[in-house]
Amino acid sequence: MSEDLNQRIAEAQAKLDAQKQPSAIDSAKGMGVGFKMASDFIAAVIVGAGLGWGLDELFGWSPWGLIVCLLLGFITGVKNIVAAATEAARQTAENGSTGLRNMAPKSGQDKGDGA
Amino acid sequence: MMVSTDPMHQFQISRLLPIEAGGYDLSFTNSALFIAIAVFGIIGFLAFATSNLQTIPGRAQSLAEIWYKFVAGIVHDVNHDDGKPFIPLVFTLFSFILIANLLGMFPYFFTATSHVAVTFTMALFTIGLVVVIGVWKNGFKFLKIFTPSGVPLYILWFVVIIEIFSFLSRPLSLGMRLFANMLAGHVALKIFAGFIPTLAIGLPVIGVFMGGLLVLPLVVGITALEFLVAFLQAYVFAILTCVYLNDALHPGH
Amino acid sequence: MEHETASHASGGGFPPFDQIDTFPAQIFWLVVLLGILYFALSSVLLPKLSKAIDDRDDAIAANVSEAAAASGRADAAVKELEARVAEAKARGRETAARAKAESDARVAAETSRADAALEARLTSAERRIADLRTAAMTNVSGIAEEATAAMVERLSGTAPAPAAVRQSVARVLAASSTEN
Repeated sequence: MSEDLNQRIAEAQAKLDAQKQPSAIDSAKGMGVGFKMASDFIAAVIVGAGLGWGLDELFGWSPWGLIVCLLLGFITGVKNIVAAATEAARQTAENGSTGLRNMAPKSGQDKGDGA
Repeated sequence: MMVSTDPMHQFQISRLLPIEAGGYDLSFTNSALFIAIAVFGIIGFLAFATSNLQTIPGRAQSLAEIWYKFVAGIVHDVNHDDGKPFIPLVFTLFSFILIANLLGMFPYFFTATSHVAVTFTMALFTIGLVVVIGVWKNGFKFLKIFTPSGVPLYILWFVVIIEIFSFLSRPLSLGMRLFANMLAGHVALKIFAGFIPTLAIGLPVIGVFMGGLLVLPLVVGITALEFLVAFLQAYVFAILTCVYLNDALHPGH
Repeated sequence: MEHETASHASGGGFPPFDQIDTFPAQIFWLVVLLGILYFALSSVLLPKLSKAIDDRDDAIAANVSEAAAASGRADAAVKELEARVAEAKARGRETAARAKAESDARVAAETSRADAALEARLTSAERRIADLRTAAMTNVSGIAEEATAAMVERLSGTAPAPAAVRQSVARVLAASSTEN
Protein backbone atom coordinates (compact mmCIF):
# COMPACT_ATOMS: atom_id res chain seq x y z
CA MET A 1 0.00 0.00 0.00
CA SER A 2 2.72 2.47 0.97
CA GLU A 3 5.57 0.64 -0.74
CA ASP A 4 5.98 3.44 -3.26
CA LEU A 5 6.21 6.06 -0.55
CA ASN A 6 8.62 3.96 1.48
CA GLN A 7 10.81 3.53 -1.55
CA ARG A 8 10.83 7.24 -2.18
CA ILE A 9 11.71 7.93 1.42
CA ALA A 10 14.54 5.39 1.25
CA GLU A 11 15.86 7.01 -1.90
CA ALA A 12 15.77 10.47 -0.35
CA GLN A 13 17.55 9.14 2.74
CA ALA A 14 20.22 7.46 0.61
CA LYS A 15 20.78 10.69 -1.30
CA LEU A 16 21.12 12.54 1.97
CA ASP A 17 23.64 10.01 3.28
CA ALA A 18 25.61 10.20 0.05
CA GLN A 19 25.89 13.96 0.44
CA LYS A 20 27.61 13.51 3.75
CA GLN A 21 30.44 11.62 2.08
CA PRO A 22 33.26 13.83 0.79
CA SER A 23 32.55 14.45 -2.82
CA ALA A 24 35.57 14.22 -5.11
CA ILE A 25 35.77 16.92 -7.73
CA ASP A 26 36.86 15.05 -10.77
CA SER A 27 36.61 17.38 -13.71
CA ALA A 28 39.71 18.44 -15.57
CA LYS A 29 42.03 17.15 -12.92
CA GLY A 30 44.35 15.45 -15.35
CA MET A 31 45.25 18.78 -16.86
CA GLY A 32 45.85 20.22 -13.41
CA VAL A 33 48.16 17.34 -12.56
CA GLY A 34 50.10 18.01 -15.76
CA PHE A 35 50.52 21.73 -15.09
CA LYS A 36 51.57 20.94 -11.59
CA MET A 37 54.22 18.41 -12.55
CA ALA A 38 55.75 20.72 -15.11
CA SER A 39 55.94 23.72 -12.82
CA ASP A 40 57.16 21.65 -9.87
CA PHE A 41 60.04 20.41 -11.97
CA ILE A 42 60.97 23.82 -13.33
CA ALA A 43 60.59 25.43 -9.92
CA ALA A 44 62.97 22.93 -8.34
CA VAL A 45 65.60 23.55 -11.03
CA ILE A 46 65.24 27.33 -10.61
CA VAL A 47 65.56 26.97 -6.83
CA GLY A 48 68.76 25.02 -7.39
CA ALA A 49 70.11 27.64 -9.76
CA GLY A 50 69.15 30.51 -7.46
CA LEU A 51 70.61 28.85 -4.37
CA GLY A 52 73.79 27.94 -6.21
CA TRP A 53 74.22 31.44 -7.55
CA GLY A 54 73.62 32.86 -4.08
CA LEU A 55 76.19 30.55 -2.47
CA ASP A 56 78.70 31.41 -5.19
CA GLU A 57 78.17 35.13 -4.58
CA LEU A 58 78.35 34.77 -0.80
CA PHE A 59 81.31 32.44 -0.48
CA GLY A 60 83.02 32.81 -3.83
CA TRP A 61 82.63 29.10 -4.65
CA SER A 62 82.02 29.87 -8.29
CA PRO A 63 81.20 27.79 -10.25
CA TRP A 64 80.86 24.80 -7.86
CA GLY A 65 77.91 26.12 -5.87
CA LEU A 66 75.90 26.60 -9.03
CA ILE A 67 76.85 23.21 -10.46
CA VAL A 68 76.10 21.22 -7.30
CA CYS A 69 72.90 23.08 -6.48
CA LEU A 70 71.64 22.88 -10.04
CA LEU A 71 72.20 19.13 -9.91
CA LEU A 72 70.36 18.89 -6.59
CA GLY A 73 67.58 21.03 -8.01
CA PHE A 74 67.28 18.72 -10.97
CA ILE A 75 67.11 15.68 -8.68
CA THR A 76 64.46 17.44 -6.61
CA GLY A 77 62.49 18.22 -9.75
CA VAL A 78 62.55 14.59 -10.82
CA LYS A 79 61.57 13.56 -7.31
CA ASN A 80 58.67 16.04 -7.35
CA ILE A 81 57.42 14.64 -10.64
CA VAL A 82 57.79 11.02 -9.50
CA ALA A 83 56.00 11.80 -6.25
CA ALA A 84 53.15 13.61 -8.02
CA ALA A 85 52.82 10.83 -10.60
CA THR A 86 52.89 8.12 -7.92
CA GLU A 87 50.27 9.94 -5.91
CA ALA A 88 48.04 10.56 -8.94
CA ALA A 89 48.35 6.93 -10.04
CA ARG A 90 47.61 5.68 -6.55
CA GLN A 91 44.50 7.81 -6.31
CA THR A 92 43.37 6.83 -9.77
CA ALA A 93 43.71 3.19 -8.81
CA GLU A 94 42.00 3.84 -5.50
CA ASN A 95 38.89 5.74 -6.44
CA GLY A 96 38.95 5.99 -10.19
CA SER A 97 39.55 9.72 -10.21
CA THR A 98 42.67 11.48 -11.31
CA GLY A 99 43.25 12.78 -7.85
CA LEU A 100 44.73 16.19 -7.54
CA ARG A 101 44.50 16.26 -3.80
CA ASN A 102 47.54 15.14 -1.86
CA MET A 103 49.44 15.14 -5.10
CA ALA A 104 51.86 17.73 -3.84
CA PRO A 105 55.40 16.62 -3.19
CA LYS A 106 54.61 15.72 0.35
CA SER A 107 57.72 16.13 2.31
CA GLY A 108 58.03 13.38 4.83
CA GLN A 109 55.49 11.18 3.16
CA ASP A 110 57.24 9.92 0.09
CA LYS A 111 58.84 6.90 1.57
CA GLY A 112 62.27 6.43 0.21
CA ASP A 113 61.73 7.75 -3.27
CA GLY A 114 63.76 10.83 -2.45
CA ALA A 115 66.97 8.90 -2.89
CA MET B 1 42.52 53.82 -28.50
CA MET B 2 45.01 52.31 -30.88
CA VAL B 3 45.10 48.55 -31.06
CA SER B 4 48.64 47.60 -30.34
CA THR B 5 49.92 44.53 -32.13
CA ASP B 6 52.65 44.09 -29.56
CA PRO B 7 51.50 40.96 -27.66
CA MET B 8 53.29 42.18 -24.52
CA HIS B 9 51.57 45.53 -24.48
CA GLN B 10 48.58 44.13 -22.62
CA PHE B 11 50.76 43.45 -19.58
CA GLN B 12 51.88 47.04 -19.26
CA ILE B 13 51.28 48.53 -15.84
CA SER B 14 50.02 52.10 -15.94
CA ARG B 15 49.53 54.44 -13.02
CA LEU B 16 45.99 55.69 -12.88
CA LEU B 17 46.32 57.63 -9.64
CA PRO B 18 49.86 58.37 -8.53
CA ILE B 19 50.30 57.96 -4.79
CA GLU B 20 53.56 58.35 -2.94
CA ALA B 21 53.82 57.20 0.65
CA GLY B 22 56.90 56.93 2.84
CA GLY B 23 59.26 56.95 -0.10
CA TYR B 24 57.36 54.15 -1.80
CA ASP B 25 55.41 54.46 -4.98
CA LEU B 26 51.97 53.09 -4.04
CA SER B 27 50.15 54.41 -7.07
CA PHE B 28 46.74 53.04 -7.91
CA THR B 29 47.54 51.19 -11.13
CA ASN B 30 45.46 49.38 -13.72
CA SER B 31 46.49 46.18 -11.89
CA ALA B 32 44.99 47.56 -8.66
CA LEU B 33 41.90 48.64 -10.57
CA PHE B 34 41.22 45.14 -11.85
CA ILE B 35 42.03 43.57 -8.50
CA ALA B 36 39.48 45.98 -7.03
CA ILE B 37 36.93 45.07 -9.70
CA ALA B 38 37.42 41.37 -8.93
CA VAL B 39 37.25 41.88 -5.16
CA PHE B 40 34.23 44.15 -5.16
CA GLY B 41 32.58 42.07 -7.86
CA ILE B 42 32.85 39.00 -5.63
CA ILE B 43 31.69 40.90 -2.55
CA GLY B 44 28.86 42.53 -4.49
CA PHE B 45 27.63 39.29 -6.00
CA LEU B 46 27.76 37.36 -2.72
CA ALA B 47 26.10 40.24 -0.86
CA PHE B 48 23.33 40.22 -3.46
CA ALA B 49 23.03 36.43 -3.37
CA THR B 50 22.85 36.32 0.42
CA SER B 51 20.59 39.36 0.80
CA ASN B 52 17.45 37.28 0.72
CA LEU B 53 18.32 33.74 1.72
CA GLN B 54 15.65 31.16 1.04
CA THR B 55 15.27 27.49 1.79
CA ILE B 56 14.51 27.04 -1.89
CA PRO B 57 17.26 29.17 -3.42
CA GLY B 58 16.95 31.52 -6.35
CA ARG B 59 19.46 31.62 -9.16
CA ALA B 60 22.02 33.89 -7.50
CA GLN B 61 21.79 32.00 -4.23
CA SER B 62 22.15 28.65 -6.02
CA LEU B 63 25.27 29.85 -7.78
CA ALA B 64 26.73 31.23 -4.55
CA GLU B 65 25.99 27.95 -2.77
CA ILE B 66 27.55 25.84 -5.54
CA TRP B 67 30.59 28.09 -5.38
CA TYR B 68 30.82 27.77 -1.63
CA LYS B 69 30.22 24.01 -1.67
CA PHE B 70 32.91 23.60 -4.31
CA VAL B 71 35.54 25.38 -2.19
CA ALA B 72 34.35 23.75 1.02
CA GLY B 73 34.52 20.40 -0.83
CA ILE B 74 38.15 20.99 -1.81
CA VAL B 75 39.05 21.91 1.76
CA HIS B 76 37.12 18.97 3.17
CA ASP B 77 38.63 16.51 0.70
CA VAL B 78 42.15 17.46 1.73
CA ASN B 79 41.95 18.68 5.32
CA HIS B 80 38.76 16.90 6.44
CA ASP B 81 37.28 18.57 9.50
CA ASP B 82 40.52 20.32 10.47
CA GLY B 83 40.12 22.52 7.43
CA LYS B 84 37.00 24.44 8.55
CA PRO B 85 38.92 27.55 9.69
CA PHE B 86 40.72 27.72 6.33
CA ILE B 87 37.60 27.84 4.19
CA PRO B 88 37.45 31.67 4.10
CA LEU B 89 41.15 31.84 3.16
CA VAL B 90 40.89 29.24 0.41
CA PHE B 91 37.65 30.81 -0.77
CA THR B 92 39.35 34.22 -0.95
CA LEU B 93 42.29 32.91 -2.97
CA PHE B 94 40.22 30.70 -5.26
CA SER B 95 37.58 33.31 -5.97
CA PHE B 96 40.02 36.12 -6.49
CA ILE B 97 42.25 34.11 -8.86
CA LEU B 98 39.25 32.75 -10.77
CA ILE B 99 37.57 36.13 -11.23
CA ALA B 100 40.82 37.95 -11.99
CA ASN B 101 41.68 35.28 -14.59
CA LEU B 102 38.24 35.48 -16.16
CA LEU B 103 38.31 39.29 -16.21
CA GLY B 104 41.50 39.02 -18.20
CA MET B 105 39.59 37.16 -20.90
CA PHE B 106 37.79 40.35 -21.92
CA PRO B 107 39.47 42.41 -24.62
CA TYR B 108 41.40 45.42 -23.30
CA PHE B 109 41.03 44.18 -19.72
CA PHE B 110 44.08 43.78 -17.58
CA THR B 111 45.00 40.39 -16.09
CA ALA B 112 46.30 41.05 -12.60
CA THR B 113 47.21 37.36 -12.16
CA SER B 114 49.62 37.51 -15.10
CA HIS B 115 52.07 39.48 -12.97
CA VAL B 116 54.73 37.93 -10.79
CA ALA B 117 54.25 40.55 -8.09
CA VAL B 118 50.67 39.38 -7.59
CA THR B 119 51.13 35.63 -7.94
CA PHE B 120 54.29 35.44 -5.85
CA THR B 121 52.78 37.59 -3.13
CA MET B 122 49.98 35.08 -2.84
CA ALA B 123 52.32 32.08 -3.09
CA LEU B 124 54.74 33.44 -0.48
CA PHE B 125 51.85 34.39 1.78
CA THR B 126 50.48 30.84 1.53
CA ILE B 127 53.82 29.20 2.27
CA GLY B 128 54.52 31.73 5.01
CA LEU B 129 51.19 30.88 6.57
CA VAL B 130 52.04 27.17 6.33
CA VAL B 131 55.32 27.76 8.19
CA VAL B 132 53.66 29.94 10.83
CA ILE B 133 50.80 27.52 11.44
CA GLY B 134 53.15 24.55 11.31
CA VAL B 135 55.51 25.98 13.92
CA TRP B 136 52.66 27.32 16.04
CA LYS B 137 50.80 23.99 16.09
CA ASN B 138 53.74 21.60 16.18
CA GLY B 139 56.78 23.55 17.36
CA PHE B 140 60.00 21.80 16.40
CA LYS B 141 58.09 18.76 15.21
CA PHE B 142 57.24 20.82 12.15
CA LEU B 143 60.77 20.07 10.92
CA LYS B 144 59.61 16.49 10.45
CA ILE B 145 58.32 17.49 7.04
CA PHE B 146 61.97 17.38 5.95
CA THR B 147 62.62 13.88 7.27
CA PRO B 148 60.65 11.15 5.56
CA SER B 149 60.13 8.11 7.72
CA GLY B 150 61.83 4.86 6.81
CA VAL B 151 64.94 6.33 5.22
CA PRO B 152 68.28 4.78 6.31
CA LEU B 153 70.46 7.19 8.28
CA TYR B 154 73.47 7.22 5.93
CA ILE B 155 71.33 8.68 3.16
CA LEU B 156 69.06 10.84 5.33
CA TRP B 157 71.22 13.99 5.02
CA PHE B 158 70.84 13.83 1.26
CA VAL B 159 67.10 13.29 1.46
CA VAL B 160 66.80 16.23 3.83
CA ILE B 161 68.62 18.47 1.35
CA ILE B 162 66.31 17.33 -1.40
CA GLU B 163 63.28 17.90 0.82
CA ILE B 164 64.48 21.42 1.64
CA PHE B 165 64.90 22.10 -2.07
CA SER B 166 61.45 20.68 -2.62
CA PHE B 167 59.96 22.88 0.08
CA LEU B 168 61.66 25.98 -1.33
CA SER B 169 60.38 25.12 -4.78
CA ARG B 170 56.79 25.17 -3.58
CA PRO B 171 56.15 28.92 -3.53
CA LEU B 172 58.10 29.28 -6.75
CA SER B 173 56.05 26.56 -8.41
CA LEU B 174 52.80 27.96 -7.04
CA GLY B 175 53.45 31.53 -8.14
CA MET B 176 55.19 30.68 -11.38
CA ARG B 177 52.51 28.31 -12.64
CA LEU B 178 49.72 30.85 -12.25
CA PHE B 179 51.48 33.81 -13.81
CA ALA B 180 53.07 31.74 -16.59
CA ASN B 181 49.77 30.16 -17.56
CA MET B 182 47.95 33.45 -17.70
CA LEU B 183 50.81 35.16 -19.49
CA ALA B 184 51.35 32.40 -22.05
CA GLY B 185 47.64 32.03 -22.75
CA HIS B 186 47.13 35.73 -23.31
CA VAL B 187 50.24 36.09 -25.42
CA ALA B 188 49.18 33.14 -27.60
CA LEU B 189 45.70 34.55 -27.93
CA LYS B 190 47.00 37.98 -28.86
CA ILE B 191 49.48 36.64 -31.41
CA PHE B 192 47.00 34.37 -33.14
CA ALA B 193 44.23 36.94 -33.06
CA GLY B 194 46.71 39.44 -34.49
CA PHE B 195 47.24 37.12 -37.46
CA ILE B 196 43.71 37.67 -38.67
CA PRO B 197 43.92 41.40 -39.53
CA THR B 198 47.56 41.02 -40.58
CA LEU B 199 46.64 38.27 -43.03
CA ALA B 200 43.58 40.13 -44.24
CA ILE B 201 45.55 43.27 -44.95
CA GLY B 202 48.64 41.53 -46.35
CA LEU B 203 46.87 39.12 -48.69
CA PRO B 204 43.65 40.86 -49.71
CA VAL B 205 41.58 37.84 -50.83
CA ILE B 206 43.30 34.66 -49.73
CA GLY B 207 44.30 36.28 -46.46
CA VAL B 208 40.70 36.91 -45.43
CA PHE B 209 39.85 33.28 -46.14
CA MET B 210 42.89 31.99 -44.34
CA GLY B 211 42.26 34.29 -41.42
CA GLY B 212 38.60 33.40 -41.24
CA LEU B 213 38.80 29.68 -41.92
CA LEU B 214 42.06 28.67 -40.29
CA VAL B 215 43.07 31.17 -37.65
CA LEU B 216 39.68 32.16 -36.28
CA PRO B 217 38.73 28.60 -35.25
CA LEU B 218 42.17 28.35 -33.65
CA VAL B 219 41.57 31.57 -31.72
CA VAL B 220 38.15 30.33 -30.64
CA GLY B 221 39.75 27.07 -29.50
CA ILE B 222 42.49 28.85 -27.56
CA THR B 223 39.88 31.11 -25.98
CA ALA B 224 37.91 28.08 -24.82
CA LEU B 225 41.12 26.52 -23.50
CA GLU B 226 41.94 29.77 -21.73
CA PHE B 227 38.61 29.70 -19.92
CA LEU B 228 39.41 26.17 -18.78
CA VAL B 229 42.91 27.21 -17.71
CA ALA B 230 41.52 30.25 -15.88
CA PHE B 231 39.39 27.93 -13.79
CA LEU B 232 42.02 25.23 -13.48
CA GLN B 233 44.72 27.56 -12.17
CA ALA B 234 42.39 28.91 -9.49
CA TYR B 235 41.49 25.33 -8.60
CA VAL B 236 45.10 24.14 -8.49
CA PHE B 237 46.14 27.10 -6.37
CA ALA B 238 43.28 26.44 -3.95
CA ILE B 239 43.93 22.72 -3.66
CA LEU B 240 47.68 23.16 -3.19
CA THR B 241 47.02 25.73 -0.48
CA CYS B 242 44.96 23.04 1.23
CA VAL B 243 47.63 20.38 0.72
CA TYR B 244 50.38 22.60 2.11
CA LEU B 245 48.19 23.61 5.04
CA ASN B 246 47.63 19.92 5.68
CA ASP B 247 51.39 19.49 5.93
CA ALA B 248 51.46 22.30 8.47
CA LEU B 249 48.81 20.60 10.58
CA HIS B 250 50.19 17.08 10.27
CA PRO B 251 53.90 17.19 9.48
CA GLY B 252 55.33 13.84 8.47
CA HIS B 253 52.46 11.68 9.61
CA MET C 1 43.97 54.16 -20.42
CA GLU C 2 47.56 55.09 -21.04
CA HIS C 3 47.93 57.90 -18.58
CA GLU C 4 51.47 57.40 -17.60
CA THR C 5 52.96 54.06 -18.47
CA ALA C 6 55.62 52.78 -16.19
CA SER C 7 59.31 53.09 -16.88
CA HIS C 8 60.09 50.85 -19.83
CA ALA C 9 56.85 51.42 -21.66
CA SER C 10 56.63 49.52 -24.94
CA GLY C 11 60.33 49.71 -25.41
CA GLY C 12 60.85 46.01 -25.97
CA GLY C 13 61.76 44.07 -22.84
CA PHE C 14 59.41 41.86 -20.93
CA PRO C 15 56.74 43.83 -19.07
CA PRO C 16 55.93 41.18 -16.43
CA PHE C 17 59.56 41.31 -15.24
CA ASP C 18 60.92 44.72 -16.12
CA GLN C 19 58.38 46.79 -14.19
CA ILE C 20 59.99 46.16 -10.83
CA ASP C 21 59.37 49.78 -9.84
CA THR C 22 55.63 48.99 -9.81
CA PHE C 23 55.96 45.98 -7.51
CA PRO C 24 55.40 47.88 -4.25
CA ALA C 25 52.24 49.44 -5.67
CA GLN C 26 50.95 46.10 -7.02
CA ILE C 27 51.71 44.25 -3.79
CA PHE C 28 50.32 47.02 -1.60
CA TRP C 29 46.97 47.13 -3.39
CA LEU C 30 46.79 43.35 -3.69
CA VAL C 31 47.26 42.94 0.06
CA VAL C 32 44.82 45.72 0.93
CA LEU C 33 42.11 44.51 -1.45
CA LEU C 34 42.50 40.81 -0.66
CA GLY C 35 42.41 41.77 3.02
CA ILE C 36 39.08 43.49 2.41
CA LEU C 37 37.82 40.44 0.50
CA TYR C 38 38.95 38.05 3.22
CA PHE C 39 37.38 40.18 5.93
CA ALA C 40 34.08 40.53 4.08
CA LEU C 41 33.94 36.81 3.32
CA SER C 42 34.96 35.46 6.70
CA SER C 43 32.94 37.85 8.84
CA VAL C 44 29.69 38.26 6.91
CA LEU C 45 29.17 36.53 3.61
CA LEU C 46 30.41 32.96 4.09
CA PRO C 47 28.79 32.46 7.53
CA LYS C 48 25.47 33.55 6.04
CA LEU C 49 25.90 31.25 3.08
CA SER C 50 27.00 28.22 5.08
CA LYS C 51 24.19 28.78 7.55
CA ALA C 52 21.65 28.79 4.72
CA ILE C 53 23.11 25.54 3.38
CA ASP C 54 23.18 23.90 6.81
CA ASP C 55 19.64 25.04 7.52
CA ARG C 56 18.43 23.51 4.29
CA ASP C 57 20.28 20.25 4.91
CA ASP C 58 18.78 20.09 8.39
CA ALA C 59 15.32 20.85 7.05
CA ILE C 60 15.61 18.15 4.41
CA ALA C 61 16.88 15.61 6.92
CA ALA C 62 14.08 16.52 9.32
CA ASN C 63 11.47 16.29 6.55
CA VAL C 64 12.71 12.91 5.42
CA SER C 65 12.71 11.45 8.92
CA GLU C 66 9.28 13.03 9.52
CA ALA C 67 7.99 11.46 6.33
CA ALA C 68 9.38 8.10 7.44
CA ALA C 69 7.67 8.47 10.82
CA ALA C 70 4.38 9.52 9.22
CA SER C 71 4.57 6.57 6.85
CA GLY C 72 5.17 4.27 9.82
CA ARG C 73 2.18 5.74 11.58
CA ALA C 74 0.08 5.28 8.47
CA ASP C 75 1.17 1.64 8.24
CA ALA C 76 0.23 1.07 11.88
CA ALA C 77 -3.15 2.72 11.33
CA VAL C 78 -3.77 0.50 8.31
CA LYS C 79 -2.91 -2.59 10.34
CA GLU C 80 -5.19 -1.54 13.17
CA LEU C 81 -7.99 -0.87 10.72
CA GLU C 82 -7.52 -4.28 9.16
CA ALA C 83 -7.64 -5.91 12.59
CA ARG C 84 -10.82 -4.03 13.46
CA VAL C 85 -12.46 -5.02 10.21
CA ALA C 86 -11.55 -8.66 10.76
CA GLU C 87 -12.92 -8.50 14.27
CA ALA C 88 -16.14 -6.91 13.10
CA LYS C 89 -16.50 -9.53 10.42
CA ALA C 90 -16.03 -12.33 12.91
CA ARG C 91 -18.56 -10.78 15.23
CA GLY C 92 -21.02 -10.40 12.38
CA ARG C 93 -20.61 -14.00 11.36
CA GLU C 94 -21.17 -15.12 14.92
CA THR C 95 -24.31 -13.04 15.30
CA ALA C 96 -25.69 -14.32 12.03
CA ALA C 97 -25.01 -17.92 13.01
CA ARG C 98 -26.72 -17.45 16.35
CA ALA C 99 -29.73 -15.81 14.76
CA LYS C 100 -29.99 -18.63 12.25
CA ALA C 101 -29.81 -21.27 14.92
CA GLU C 102 -32.51 -19.51 16.94
CA SER C 103 -34.84 -19.16 14.04
CA ASP C 104 -34.18 -22.77 13.00
CA ALA C 105 -35.13 -23.94 16.46
CA ARG C 106 -38.31 -21.83 16.45
CA VAL C 107 -39.29 -23.09 13.04
CA ALA C 108 -38.70 -26.68 14.12
CA ALA C 109 -40.83 -26.19 17.23
CA GLU C 110 -43.66 -24.60 15.29
CA THR C 111 -43.51 -27.33 12.72
CA SER C 112 -43.62 -30.11 15.29
CA ARG C 113 -46.47 -28.39 17.10
CA ALA C 114 -48.46 -28.04 13.93
CA ASP C 115 -47.66 -31.66 13.06
CA ALA C 116 -48.89 -32.83 16.44
CA ALA C 117 -52.15 -30.86 16.10
CA LEU C 118 -52.71 -32.22 12.65
CA GLU C 119 -51.99 -35.75 13.86
CA ALA C 120 -54.45 -35.37 16.70
CA ARG C 121 -57.15 -34.12 14.42
CA LEU C 122 -56.39 -36.87 11.97
CA THR C 123 -56.66 -39.63 14.58
CA SER C 124 -59.87 -38.24 16.01
CA ALA C 125 -61.32 -38.05 12.53
CA GLU C 126 -60.25 -41.61 11.81
CA ARG C 127 -61.83 -42.77 15.06
CA ARG C 128 -65.05 -41.04 14.20
CA ILE C 129 -65.06 -42.67 10.81
CA ALA C 130 -64.49 -46.06 12.40
CA ASP C 131 -67.31 -45.45 14.91
CA LEU C 132 -69.63 -44.39 12.18
CA ARG C 133 -68.65 -47.45 10.23
CA THR C 134 -69.31 -49.91 13.07
CA ALA C 135 -72.55 -48.12 13.80
CA ALA C 136 -73.48 -48.37 10.17
CA MET C 137 -72.48 -52.02 10.15
CA THR C 138 -74.75 -52.84 13.09
CA ASN C 139 -77.59 -51.02 11.41
CA VAL C 140 -76.92 -53.01 8.22
CA SER C 141 -77.09 -56.39 10.03
CA GLY C 142 -80.32 -55.33 11.75
CA ILE C 143 -81.92 -54.34 8.46
CA ALA C 144 -80.62 -57.51 6.80
CA GLU C 145 -82.07 -59.70 9.60
CA GLU C 146 -85.42 -58.01 9.29
CA ALA C 147 -85.35 -58.31 5.55
CA THR C 148 -84.23 -61.90 5.74
CA ALA C 149 -86.95 -62.72 8.28
CA ALA C 150 -89.53 -61.01 6.12
CA MET C 151 -88.33 -62.76 2.98
CA VAL C 152 -88.24 -66.15 4.69
CA GLU C 153 -91.72 -65.55 6.15
CA ARG C 154 -93.09 -64.60 2.75
CA LEU C 155 -91.52 -67.64 1.12
CA SER C 156 -92.21 -70.24 3.76
CA GLY C 157 -95.13 -68.69 5.44
CA THR C 158 -93.59 -69.20 8.80
CA ALA C 159 -91.50 -66.81 10.74
CA PRO C 160 -87.96 -68.11 11.21
CA ALA C 161 -86.33 -68.23 14.53
CA PRO C 162 -84.67 -64.89 15.11
CA ALA C 163 -81.49 -66.59 16.33
CA ALA C 164 -81.04 -68.58 13.16
CA VAL C 165 -81.68 -65.47 11.06
CA ARG C 166 -79.10 -63.48 13.00
CA GLN C 167 -76.62 -66.32 12.65
CA SER C 168 -76.90 -66.70 8.91
CA VAL C 169 -76.93 -62.98 8.26
CA ALA C 170 -73.79 -62.64 10.29
CA ARG C 171 -72.21 -65.42 8.26
CA VAL C 172 -73.12 -63.81 4.94
CA LEU C 173 -72.00 -60.39 6.09
CA ALA C 174 -68.73 -61.79 7.28
CA ALA C 175 -68.24 -63.50 3.94
CA SER C 176 -69.08 -60.37 1.99
CA SER C 177 -66.92 -58.23 4.18
CA THR C 178 -64.02 -60.60 3.52
CA GLU C 179 -64.78 -60.37 -0.21
CA ASN C 180 -64.54 -56.65 -0.11
